[in-house]
Amino acid sequence: MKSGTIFEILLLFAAILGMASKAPGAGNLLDYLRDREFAELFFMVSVLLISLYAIVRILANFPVILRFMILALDISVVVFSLYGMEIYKAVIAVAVALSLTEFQRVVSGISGYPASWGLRWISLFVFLEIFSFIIPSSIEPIDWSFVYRIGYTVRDGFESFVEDTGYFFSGIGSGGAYQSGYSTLQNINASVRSSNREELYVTAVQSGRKLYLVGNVEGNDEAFAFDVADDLEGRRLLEFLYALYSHNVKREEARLYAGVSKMSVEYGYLRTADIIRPGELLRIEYGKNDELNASGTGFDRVHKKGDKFDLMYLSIDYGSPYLEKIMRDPVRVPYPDYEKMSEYCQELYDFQLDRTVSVAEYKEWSEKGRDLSSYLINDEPATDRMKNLAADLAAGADSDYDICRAVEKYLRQYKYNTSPAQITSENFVDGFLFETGEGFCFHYATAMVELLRLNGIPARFVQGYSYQFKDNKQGTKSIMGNNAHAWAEAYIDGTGWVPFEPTAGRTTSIDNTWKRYLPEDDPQLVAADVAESEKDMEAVIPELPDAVSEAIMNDETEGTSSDKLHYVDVMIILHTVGIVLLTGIFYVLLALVLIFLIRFLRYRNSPMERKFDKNVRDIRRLLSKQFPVYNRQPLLEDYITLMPEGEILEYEYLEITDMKQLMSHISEVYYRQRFAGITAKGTDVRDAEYLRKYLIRRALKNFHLRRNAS
Amino acid sequence: MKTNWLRLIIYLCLLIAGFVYASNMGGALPYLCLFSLLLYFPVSGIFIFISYQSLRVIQALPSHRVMKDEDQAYEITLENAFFLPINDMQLVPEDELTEFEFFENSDIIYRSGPVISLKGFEKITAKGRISCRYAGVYDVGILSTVFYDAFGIIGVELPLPSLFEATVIPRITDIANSVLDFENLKNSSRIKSRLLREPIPGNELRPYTIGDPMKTIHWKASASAGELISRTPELLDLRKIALILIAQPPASDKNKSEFIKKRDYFLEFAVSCVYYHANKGESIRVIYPRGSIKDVQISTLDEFSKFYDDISRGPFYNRDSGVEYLKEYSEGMASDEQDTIIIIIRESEYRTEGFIEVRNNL
Repeated sequence: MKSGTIFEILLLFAAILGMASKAPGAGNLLDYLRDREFAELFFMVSVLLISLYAIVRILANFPVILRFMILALDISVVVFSLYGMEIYKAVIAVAVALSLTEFQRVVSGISGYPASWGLRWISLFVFLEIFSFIIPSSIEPIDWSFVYRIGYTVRDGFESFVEDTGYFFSGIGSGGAYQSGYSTLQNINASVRSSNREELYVTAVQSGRKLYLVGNVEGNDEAFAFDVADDLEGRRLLEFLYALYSHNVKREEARLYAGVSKMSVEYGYLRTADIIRPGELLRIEYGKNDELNASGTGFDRVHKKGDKFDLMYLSIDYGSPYLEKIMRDPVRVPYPDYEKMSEYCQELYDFQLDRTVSVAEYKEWSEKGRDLSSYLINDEPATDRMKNLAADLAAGADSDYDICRAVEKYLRQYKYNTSPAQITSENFVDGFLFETGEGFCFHYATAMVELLRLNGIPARFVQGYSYQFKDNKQGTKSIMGNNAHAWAEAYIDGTGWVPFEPTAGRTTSIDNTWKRYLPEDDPQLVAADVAESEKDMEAVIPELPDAVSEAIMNDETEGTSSDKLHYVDVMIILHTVGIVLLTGIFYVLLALVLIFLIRFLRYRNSPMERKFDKNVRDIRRLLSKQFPVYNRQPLLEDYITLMPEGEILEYEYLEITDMKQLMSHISEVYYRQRFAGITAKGTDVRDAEYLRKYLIRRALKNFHLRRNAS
Repeated sequence: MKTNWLRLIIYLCLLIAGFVYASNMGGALPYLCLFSLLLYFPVSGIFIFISYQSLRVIQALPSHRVMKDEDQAYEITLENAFFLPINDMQLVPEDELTEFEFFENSDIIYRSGPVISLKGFEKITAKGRISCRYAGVYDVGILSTVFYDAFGIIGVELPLPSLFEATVIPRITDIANSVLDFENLKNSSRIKSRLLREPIPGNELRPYTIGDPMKTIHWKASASAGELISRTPELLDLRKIALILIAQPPASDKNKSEFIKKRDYFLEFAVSCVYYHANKGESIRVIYPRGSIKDVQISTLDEFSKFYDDISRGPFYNRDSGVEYLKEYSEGMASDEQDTIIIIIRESEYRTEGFIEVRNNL
């Protein structure tokens, strides 16, 4: 019997034993054996060994049976795996090794080798399977999102590298867009990885408060440009002041939920023309480079690292119960005149209104009606179930503000996921709301805007950063790429634009309230009031759609979903590759320039002898290309013999103009310098330089001729 | 590296299938299949490395110095010095410069034929014959081995650690004489001599001058003349012949067989030329490179056999400029030595008119 065959049979038995040990009755068998006497056991083992020997003999003589058994083993392993039945990994490894051996036997037969050679590779396959067995395998399929992560990390790394050194380089092709976490928000079906790159530096003290920094509104679309320009000029203050004025709010109460703050913003690894600022901006101290564009919605030129401006803004606690009351109950009173409003502003916040708004501007604002129709049109027509949902959300609400809160609260039940399942519906908000039920800030904010618009509430999509101040230490805070965020703003009649936070996992304005109360109010009672109203609202909020709640339930029970597909953003990879290539080319060019410069300077400052030597070296290299000599170490004379007669060099002061003669002269000078120690003269160096130049020109000419010919 | 493209494509398709399987289904089976596919080449590489390291090859010929075109008994022993088998190995023999065949175990070797497999610690011996077709110094027998992976997808060709280098001695033929026709060369040159006297009757005797050897004295003539008369040396003895062998520096491995073929003709020509003269007892001066430039005078068969032995080991230069020096030296001789027929043989000009140049200044 051949050792290879015996080895194969033993492996097969081991695999069968491995499979049998997982069979339902295996445990009982062990118990049965444990209860036997030694003599009985000895007898049984002897019988077993004899039968084993007999089987081995039979199988060795009838290899067809052996092959059928291996096939049966393979089939059972595949069936067990497909139906999720328990099976030892080692058994699978043995089955793969045996199958490979048999497959190799077939291939060997095709190649015309003797059939008896068939098992010679069994040791290789056993080793192969040992190595494969050692590597841990997962019960999950391969998660390809790591490719995306690598791409992102590489891109981030390279961008930082490039921006640190050759900063101007990374802006090519995307002047107006954010290049970090922000830009990926553009793609609803992409995954988002947070970036730890510092994109902004702000200097402000706002302990425990949450700061929303607006970058752009609806992508600074033209239809909304007028309002955005107004916001940048600080007009949002007027709406807020009017809300307080209409409710006759006094200084004491007004200062509970709002105050004027100062801040300086410095751009980090960010490249954008957008003005990153708090929503309730009062004024910006623009620098000389901060000219605004024609529509007044952003800077005229792209701002880069190090660009800095100071600003003043009104810090507002939208979660304050006092302000909530105002928002719930808009009151319409005639607009006061400029002086009166100015006085009121001064009284409430010690802020001179004329620092932001002039008389004429106030007049225009107070007389002009607001056209908010653009904020009511959805990008895509809403589906019926979206309309129904919007109506359900509005059903239990008494005011626009309550509808907003209801929508916010409803959406916050959805699952936050930076790698959401792909939305296949035509209307992606519909897909998010009723099918996938997971997403990141982009999904939530878009859904909120559309649901509000369906309820007739003007709403807009805002992109920027949200940052939670954790301490009240003085100094500069770094805002990272992973602080990039999108949220919704609703126009509450009588109050103006109010931000809402529909994204699950982020704190709302109510969670973040400053908890300041009037002395006469008991904080506990107010808090209880708020809690009660929240509870009331919860009662009227509709249930999540079945598909969505099922998906969330499954995720919670299973940990992660197994059939989730992962997508790779091709654009990011292309962008990365592009940047890597450009950077590579740039550095190669830079290195070449440096090498050229160093060589030039070294040549200029070297003595005649070295200059001549260098020229001869170059000439030798050029000659070897133009007059190839098939000798191991060609001499200068070899080239001279190959040179054609009568090629004339036309340079000033050149005494020997024939190329061949000039080369002979240079070679003589070279050997004289090398062996007789007679240094080349200035004229010799000049001659050599001329010849070198001529040979370069000649090579280029030949190259052109060859190219034209081809 | 030899690649079976069809099998490689099938492997790549299976690899892609493995990735697809593991991307859609988790668990041990998909991952084991994928890992097996991924690790197949690395593990095969390790196997090939072990096989290469554990293979011992001993080649033997009766002597390292063999005669051209003479059958030599050849024996090769292959031994696996490790317990793992060496599988699917091919031996690559030198079959361009030599005729090579096996008598025993002949089914095991040859490029296009089947492969050899050796079990752990197995040793096999094969006998055959080698006939070296060209003179010179080169490796004969098996030069390298090709190791294949289990499915014959790729084969890696690796040189044998120890090769058998044979010195093939050139044959002595009539080639030089048939080309140059030495007698005619020498005779025709005699007529044109400007320095030596004409060989007319009576001219072969002259009065004795100091320095003439005793045996050249013509006693009869001396007796009749009353003074010592000596025979003029034979004109042919006065005329010298020189052979300058300008060998080519060794070429790269790529052109090695071409180089050996050139060398074969060059050596055969050189030894034939010298043997012709040595056999007749005529003196010939030979200038050839053997490290330094050697300049020898050969007039007997003993001296010839020394030269034959020396030149068979192959001419070479100890510095790159050697060829240039020898060329300059031959030019110098041609202009300086007026009474010498100079035959210059340039190996690099093989099969061109410049291969042989006869400078006859007489």
